[in-house]
Amino acid sequence: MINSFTKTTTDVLVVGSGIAGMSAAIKAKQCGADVAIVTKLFPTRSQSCCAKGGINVCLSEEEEKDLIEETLESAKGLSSVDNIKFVASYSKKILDFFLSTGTPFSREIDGTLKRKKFGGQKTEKTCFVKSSTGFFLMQSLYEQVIKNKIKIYDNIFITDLIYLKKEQKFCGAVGFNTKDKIPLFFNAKNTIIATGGGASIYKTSSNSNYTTGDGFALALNANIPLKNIEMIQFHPTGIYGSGILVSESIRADGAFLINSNEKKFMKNYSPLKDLAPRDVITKAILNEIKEGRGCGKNRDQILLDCRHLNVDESDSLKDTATMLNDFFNINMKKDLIPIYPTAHYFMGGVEANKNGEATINSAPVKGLFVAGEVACADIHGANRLGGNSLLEAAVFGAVAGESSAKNFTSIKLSTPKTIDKNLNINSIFQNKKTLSTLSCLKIKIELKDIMQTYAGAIKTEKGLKKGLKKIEALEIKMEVADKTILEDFFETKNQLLIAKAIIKSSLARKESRGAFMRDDFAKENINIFNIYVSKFEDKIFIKKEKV
Amino acid sequence: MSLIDFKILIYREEKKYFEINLKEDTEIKILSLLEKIKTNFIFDLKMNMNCRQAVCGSCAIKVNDKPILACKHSLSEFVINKNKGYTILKIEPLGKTETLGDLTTNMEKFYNSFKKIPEYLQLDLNAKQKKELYNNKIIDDCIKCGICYFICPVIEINKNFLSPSTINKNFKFLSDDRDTLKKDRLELSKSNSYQCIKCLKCLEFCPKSCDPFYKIEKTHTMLLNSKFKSSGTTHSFAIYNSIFKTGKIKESFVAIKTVGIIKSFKFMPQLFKIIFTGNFGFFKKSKNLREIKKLFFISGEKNEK
Repeated sequence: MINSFTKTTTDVLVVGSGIAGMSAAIKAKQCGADVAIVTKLFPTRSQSCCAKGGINVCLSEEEEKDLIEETLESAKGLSSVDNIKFVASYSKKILDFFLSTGTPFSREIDGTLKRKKFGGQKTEKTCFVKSSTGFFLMQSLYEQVIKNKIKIYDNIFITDLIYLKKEQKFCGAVGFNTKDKIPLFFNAKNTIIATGGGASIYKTSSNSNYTTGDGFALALNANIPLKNIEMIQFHPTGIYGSGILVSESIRADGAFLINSNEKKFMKNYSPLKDLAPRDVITKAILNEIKEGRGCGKNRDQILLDCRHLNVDESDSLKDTATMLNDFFNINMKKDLIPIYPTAHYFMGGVEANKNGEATINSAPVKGLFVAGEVACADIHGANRLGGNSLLEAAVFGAVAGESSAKNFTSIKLSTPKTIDKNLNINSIFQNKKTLSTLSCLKIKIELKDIMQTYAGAIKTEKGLKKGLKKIEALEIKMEVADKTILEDFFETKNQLLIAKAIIKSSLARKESRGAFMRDDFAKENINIFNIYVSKFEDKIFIKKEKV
Repeated sequence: MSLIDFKILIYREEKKYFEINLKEDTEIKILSLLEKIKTNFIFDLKMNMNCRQAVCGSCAIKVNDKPILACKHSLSEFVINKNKGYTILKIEPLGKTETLGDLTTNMEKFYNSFKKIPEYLQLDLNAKQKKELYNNKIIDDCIKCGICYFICPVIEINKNFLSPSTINKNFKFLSDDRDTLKKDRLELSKSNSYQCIKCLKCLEFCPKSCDPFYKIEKTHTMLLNSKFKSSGTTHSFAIYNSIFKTGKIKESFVAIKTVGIIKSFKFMPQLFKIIFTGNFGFFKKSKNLREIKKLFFISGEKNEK
């Protein structure tokens, strides 16, 4: 069976080509390892490109202290001080790396870096490039990947990780080429998953359509549990209707939220007003709408006022103004921006330690590393601060790359003799071309609706249970769905699995903590729990563990 | 919101289009329309729809022969006559000959075109003060959507031509003071950038206003100011001198100056054509030579002395 796969061997295999993936690949290559990046999209098309705000950087010890304190406070007990300290102290290195690659960070006239204060921060720590920081960081990283002559395999969809039971370690991944559906086997000493998040599972989402959480599904299918997967951040300022983000930097520049009475309401919710952490603002917006102070025809939106800002003064404002004008016909100087919280970031994921290794019950899994949004390295906890995601992705990407390339010469490359019958990849060999009238996209859209309605920003037990039933019904529908476009089929399957995991995990968390809000359990529990979701023989299991 | 009748033709195979008649809101984006079509009409339609905000560059297609990013343009831009009949929307992949099925394009050739240049910044860390070295002001907004590559008429016939996108990228590093590979970059573009026929299509259709044409022109200026000589630069100098001396572009003079006397015999058929059309000029100078020369002085190109 394994012979029918086109085999590629490498020391380090990186699945995903966002900021974490490319950082990992560059670092591993610089450590001397042979590296291959495998990605379903060309690197510069990854979700990381859509990151707008900025990257947090600590240039002094005081700033480090501040960042640690702020991140800890916002994480609401679900993060590790050690790991945050590590990230904060590593941030200077990351900045130096990006500067040496030519990233055009915005600067003052005298040449010093411009920095902003994002939500939940006391001092200015966020460096940025206009309002498209992610895009420019990605450009720099891609150039470095080319410079380091790292092999890129694009248009490849990875369906399964390969685990060797005898040796108890991972030895690569299998997938197929989306151009010609040829099955591929990437045999590697170490595998790094850096596939990003999966927030496009929601109807109103800031994420791109292909951010389908494939990495979460890869892990679940390989019997690796997901930690706190129900912790999903809803960014307060998504544009009403489409969910596309209006960067937090606009509020850092002085924009504020108003309700139907044309009054600033954030002062009633937090002393930090419009620069409170994202969970606080999201909660406030939803509360205003609930109490009938929403705007628009259906009174289901809030308005962002930036009419008083001098757009020509700053690059980032200009960038936002162009985007609003081109896509939504909104003139920032005259119009108010209708906004609604939008699904943005998965704080949970595959548990990882400080070395970027994937762990189960705190014990590292042999041959498997995780970095970026797909990982849960105990940094963001229950709510992520603006600017921390790019930092975490870059730091843990580099760390995972470094540790995966450590001792790679002494590790022996193991190859499986057969491919397990239960793996997803087997379904590409069943070449029955059935005529189906149900497209995978239709299921995806139905799923988005279900998640938005029943597992949105504020959840209830009744809603979650109803949502779960609907998802199970969709799973049955999935059996007769059109399989002509295989990547669509696998993405939809992955999304259904993750949706189930999110709902089951949400049901187990009987409290409200940070970004996770339950209507029926509005208060924080005194005891802090981590929730693990795992999959065994098509059944999902939940484990609660006290922190 | 205004609903209008559309007749939508979706490219599936050579000479085979899927036809749909729809009443649709003109405010929605082409990408949303395609999403709708894929959900309800063509279940196995191959297309790309990723970021929805013109950052990823994956949804480049042709609508009524105009290359666009599907996420950026709304239907209303293609409505010609609002009141009468229906509007036809012919939706095709960016490169019909390079299609990977339906509306997706094989970008392999496009990506490979970047391999012709060193696509990265090479710093000499010892050369200057660190602070200065790190201060970068050059911003390149190119999202690698491939529109300028697939619309460029030169690429189809001349494989040596550095594509507009590649020249754009090359220029980013050329204009960066800190880059140490300047010579290599100029060497690479000395003849391969002169094949541009200045049709301005890259300028017209670039969705991020990168203006590759401006970068091509700027690269030429850099080449003219450098020691690198190619038929392109000598041709430019020949035209420049011809205008300065006679006030006219004297084709015969330009041809000889560009390729030399012996090689210019190759152009005998063209020479006869020039004589017939009266462009040869026979050493006549323009009547307005003085005014023309003034232009050189005004623009600062030449000193009056």
